[in-house]
Amino acid sequence: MLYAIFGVQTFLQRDLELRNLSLFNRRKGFSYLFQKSLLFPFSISFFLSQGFIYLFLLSSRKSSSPAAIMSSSSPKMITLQSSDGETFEVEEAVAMESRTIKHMIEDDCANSSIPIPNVTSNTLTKVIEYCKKHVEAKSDEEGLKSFDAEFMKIDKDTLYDLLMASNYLDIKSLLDLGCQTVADKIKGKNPEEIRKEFGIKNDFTPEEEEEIRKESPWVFD
Amino acid sequence: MAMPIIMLEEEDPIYGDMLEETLSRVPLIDLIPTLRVSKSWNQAVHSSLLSRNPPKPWLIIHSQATRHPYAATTRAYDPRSRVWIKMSQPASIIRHATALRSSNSNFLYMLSPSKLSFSFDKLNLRWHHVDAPLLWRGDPIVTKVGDSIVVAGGTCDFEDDPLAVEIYSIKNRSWRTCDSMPARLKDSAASTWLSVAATPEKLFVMEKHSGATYWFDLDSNDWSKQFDLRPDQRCFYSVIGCVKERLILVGLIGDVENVEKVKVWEVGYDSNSGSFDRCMEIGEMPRLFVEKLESETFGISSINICLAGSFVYIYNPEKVEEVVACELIKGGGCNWGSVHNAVSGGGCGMERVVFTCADVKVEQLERALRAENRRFEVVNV
Repeated sequence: MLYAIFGVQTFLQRDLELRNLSLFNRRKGFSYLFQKSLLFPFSISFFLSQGFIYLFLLSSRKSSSPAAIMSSSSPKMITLQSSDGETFEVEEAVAMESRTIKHMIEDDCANSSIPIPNVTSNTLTKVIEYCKKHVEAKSDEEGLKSFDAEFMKIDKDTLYDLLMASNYLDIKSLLDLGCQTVADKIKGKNPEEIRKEFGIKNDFTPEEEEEIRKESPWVFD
Repeated sequence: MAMPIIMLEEEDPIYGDMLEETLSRVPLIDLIPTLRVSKSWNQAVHSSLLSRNPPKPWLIIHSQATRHPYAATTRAYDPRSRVWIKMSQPASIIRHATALRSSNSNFLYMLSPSKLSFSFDKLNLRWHHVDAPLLWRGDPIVTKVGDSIVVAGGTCDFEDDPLAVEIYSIKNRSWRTCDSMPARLKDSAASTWLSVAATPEKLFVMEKHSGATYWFDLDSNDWSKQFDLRPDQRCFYSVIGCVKERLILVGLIGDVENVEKVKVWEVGYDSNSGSFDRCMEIGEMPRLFVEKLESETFGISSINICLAGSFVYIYNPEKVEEVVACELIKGGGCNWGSVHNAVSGGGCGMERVVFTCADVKVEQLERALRAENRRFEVVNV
């Protein structure tokens, strides 16, 4: 708006100056000086009034902004940007499920979009889906439980990405859920099955394995 | 978990903080195979057990059928992961012909006129069988003190000395007799009336109803004078136990019909002067848990305890379905919790239930499970 004011201001001044020039060209002398002397305070007062109007609007905007939000009933939106450049608009309450983002908002670093460099758009979509549900259905324990169970029916890679994302974004409930799901995959398996499940290479030599066996203390001690 | 993790160049999909956090949610039993997956996993398991979710002492429940063939089953509760574990051994390991009993937290024994069988390892997997002591008595105190088994007191109709003490040396495999118990304990020398605790050199014996306490030194074969350990005047019943050289006393306050409080104290023992110098209150059991211990018919007429690590498990022998756990905090104070025993009891007298307690490490479990036919599995209760 300020720019608009300035734009109009400049235009008017230009216009006046042009007129001055033409006046000057046409009629030099006292009448020109008279015109100029009138124009000068006029432009100053015009500029000052614009300034006052701007300051007034600024202060009224600040003081009435919550009222403006409440009366307009549209929640504040936060923009998140994934590592591959995609942007997501989420409600502030949903974004605040992440402690990392919450701190950023509180420290006032979240005015433009927040970059999430470690998280791809696919993972971020899932994270937002989780946070949204947990904000919406906060008091419905049964509903959340069944949602969580369904939510965890994902392939391994998505699960690990989700785990890393929830750690970076510091979303405790999603972290707990993810870790518990992975822990359940470990239970009841022997070492070879665990390696297969997680794609891990066995870097123990047979001698090293034997060392470990020998060093285990007896439960009889 | 507030700091973002540093992305390392690793091939494993899950590693570092995430792996440790995940492993902290895996029960101890299921952590055994993870030790051998890879070097980084081995390290992660140890780190996780050290800092994120350390092992906690297991409460072990031995249920023995009261009819032939007196089969026994063992279940353990792991408070770290809040799971129950069924411990199976080949049946030939032990033939239970007599009543199974326990004392001093992880000592199990069976005494018959001809034989004494006992087990003192953490999970009671290895049993020893020796000849019975010379004097037969019913229900004596039997416990392990250092490298010896002490059998003292008991009820007997015909023997001259109901307070006889006999000691079996595990190293020498022989029995010896020594000074009888103090005369004051003449009418209450059985394990029903006496609570025992043992350090490597001394045996502490407390009369549950009066608080009269004596200690017995194995080296000098001496019994001490009587001490009255009653930290609260209104305490009508108390038991003692020893864990990591600390003497813990748990007392019932009020009266038999109406137990008002259950409190836990630490008793200071000065080995130079041979006396007890102080009783420090550690905590009081919340009312909610006191009510869990109350049985319908008898209230709380008696309690028993077993201790290991920083845990004191308190239970009412008349109501084995509920056990209260007291976790001692370093520096004083304690946390309270309860364990619902869903795996035994039932109260119809068909089973004898004995409690022990053990501070088990994952490597010890791993070694124990190398024996064939020995299986520990998590049960869904």
